[in-house]
Amino acid sequence: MKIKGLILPIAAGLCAVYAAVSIAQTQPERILTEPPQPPPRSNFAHSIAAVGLIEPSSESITIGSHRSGVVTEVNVRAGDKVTKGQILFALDQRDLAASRNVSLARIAQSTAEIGSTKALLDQAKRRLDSANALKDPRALSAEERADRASEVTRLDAQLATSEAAIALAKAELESVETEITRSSVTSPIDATVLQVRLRKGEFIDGGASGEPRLVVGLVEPLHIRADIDEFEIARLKSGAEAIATPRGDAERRFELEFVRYEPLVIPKRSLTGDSTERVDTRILQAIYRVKSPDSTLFVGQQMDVFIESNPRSSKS
Amino acid sequence: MIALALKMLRHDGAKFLTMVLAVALAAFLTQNQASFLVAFLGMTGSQIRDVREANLWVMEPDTECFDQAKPLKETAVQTVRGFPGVEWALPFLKVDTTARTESGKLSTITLIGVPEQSRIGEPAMKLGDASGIYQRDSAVIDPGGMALLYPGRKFQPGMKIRVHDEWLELRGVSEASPPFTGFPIVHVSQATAMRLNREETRSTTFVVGRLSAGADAAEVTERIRKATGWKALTRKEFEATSWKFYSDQGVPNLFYITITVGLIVGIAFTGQTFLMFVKENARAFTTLKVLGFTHPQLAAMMAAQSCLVVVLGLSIGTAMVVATTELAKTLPFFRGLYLPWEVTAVCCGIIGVVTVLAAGLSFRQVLQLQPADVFRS
Repeated sequence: MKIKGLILPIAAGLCAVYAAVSIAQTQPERILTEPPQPPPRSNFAHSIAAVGLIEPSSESITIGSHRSGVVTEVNVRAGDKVTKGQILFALDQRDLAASRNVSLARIAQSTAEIGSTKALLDQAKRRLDSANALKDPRALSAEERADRASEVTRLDAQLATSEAAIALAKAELESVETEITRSSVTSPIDATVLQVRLRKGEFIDGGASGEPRLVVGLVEPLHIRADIDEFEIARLKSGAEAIATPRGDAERRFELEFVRYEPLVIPKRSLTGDSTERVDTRILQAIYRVKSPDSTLFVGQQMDVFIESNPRSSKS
Repeated sequence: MIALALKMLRHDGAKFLTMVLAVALAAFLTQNQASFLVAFLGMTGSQIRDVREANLWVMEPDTECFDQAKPLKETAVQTVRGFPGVEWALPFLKVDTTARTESGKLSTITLIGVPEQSRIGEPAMKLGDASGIYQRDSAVIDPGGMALLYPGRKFQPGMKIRVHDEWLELRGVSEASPPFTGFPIVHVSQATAMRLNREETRSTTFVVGRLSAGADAAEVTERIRKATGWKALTRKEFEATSWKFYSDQGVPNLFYITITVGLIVGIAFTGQTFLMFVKENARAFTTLKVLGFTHPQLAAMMAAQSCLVVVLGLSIGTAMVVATTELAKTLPFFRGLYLPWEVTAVCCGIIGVVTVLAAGLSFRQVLQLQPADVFRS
């Protein structure tokens, strides 16, 4: 009887324990955890945040070609340091070599022609002189005399023609040689080769429509191009400090030194590269120099930039 | 004396059991419906809570919940980063789109782009590894999504879903909190989400961030709101906003009716049973009066009786709610169910008060009893 009377209280007690434990365990958590990887943080009291892209201090130079043609040699690899005037790659020049030979042959031909014309001219002059030297004019007919004079004039003209032909051939040679020089593309500055998308045997289009195949730039020092929202422009202050952190490693901070602003505010170029992108923001670009870059910074890398700024006015 | 009171109860075991079960049933009815409602409305904040690292959410001013959000402009994240009191801020991309399986099953899904940069909002995993998110053309799906897209099938590596014209390989099953909408939650890398974001041109649905330690949340959010015109909310506020938005809709209103009915039935049931008990024991109480028990003594006896009944009943009733909740939780869509302790406290409180009131009412009858009543009836 005693035990029977206790069944209900004991069962209820167990129920209470079960309910309490379950309720305690299943309440939703509202914990605040640290991100698995640290996100970028500003270290200024007031700052303007921007997205920056690392670029060479010379900006990226996409090397173009004047001529179209097949590449016969590529002298550089990505990462090579090149000096101003160093040949980067060369196009096929056999057609130009042939034209050059033609020009040289023309010069030789014209030179030979001048030689023979000069000899004939000498002879004609002598015959005219001897005719003029005759004391008795009746010794030669008037016609013969006139023939000898016009022969000299004719040969003079022929000589001038040959000389002009030489000048023309030389000019042609010069032009062919210019084309030959232009077939070897050289570096415009002392720089580092950043990209080579060009291999021996490939055809490249010259002129403005040509696709850039080779990129060079001066990577010492490195610059960062920071995109600042137009709404933040008012808060920029001169002489402000700035830092940049690489994506994926926000713990490392690189100090920046201000170089200049791009004077033109432009529509934001989205980095998603989607063709359906519509622009809704305009940005000011600020150029900074990375004070002490290390080997982990690469051109084209995205950085989160923080620029020390004026506080937001309390009215806004 | 108290022992005597308890003996009175025990003496009529069947009636005692009936009373306890009546209280238990009332506790079950009220708590069950209320906990379902609270748990379902709590799901409106699932995706907000799942970004465990962030306690600041910035959005367009008319955004009221996680599910209907107009994206912000691309530079918004930079702007938010520039506010003092904001430790860090990152873009958060959510894409509503449709997915189909290899066999052609179709469902609307919510794609969440986890930023590779800091991996905030990365889900806990049930199967597989979260690093799968960052691989090319890969995704991680929640249990609700598995149940919707692959009914009756277990997860196998190599399963694929097609979003727009791209195949995403499923690398695992996440433990993402169940969404209120019931749509599958698919986690991908932010780059993948951006690529698949065809309906919107902007790709910053929210800016999420963390308030600096020691910063005044109200001051920071107000500053952001004033300067930008956007809505800036703490995590708690955003959860509350979502809750409010959904709680005004039709289905929750139906729930309110059910809960009210449950409460009324429960209260009536308990009160009625207790009144009956006192009535039926009128004879015993009269006898006690004859034996010289004072009114305070009788009151203490009745209080002990009612307390015991209430405590036992509430314990059993609450355990019944817990058991049904745990059972329902095994279904993928109900995995977010739980019994909020507030619901238990309020429901048990109401039932306790009602029972004590009923006991009080009954005691008035005891007061009116005359010793002569022993010989009546």
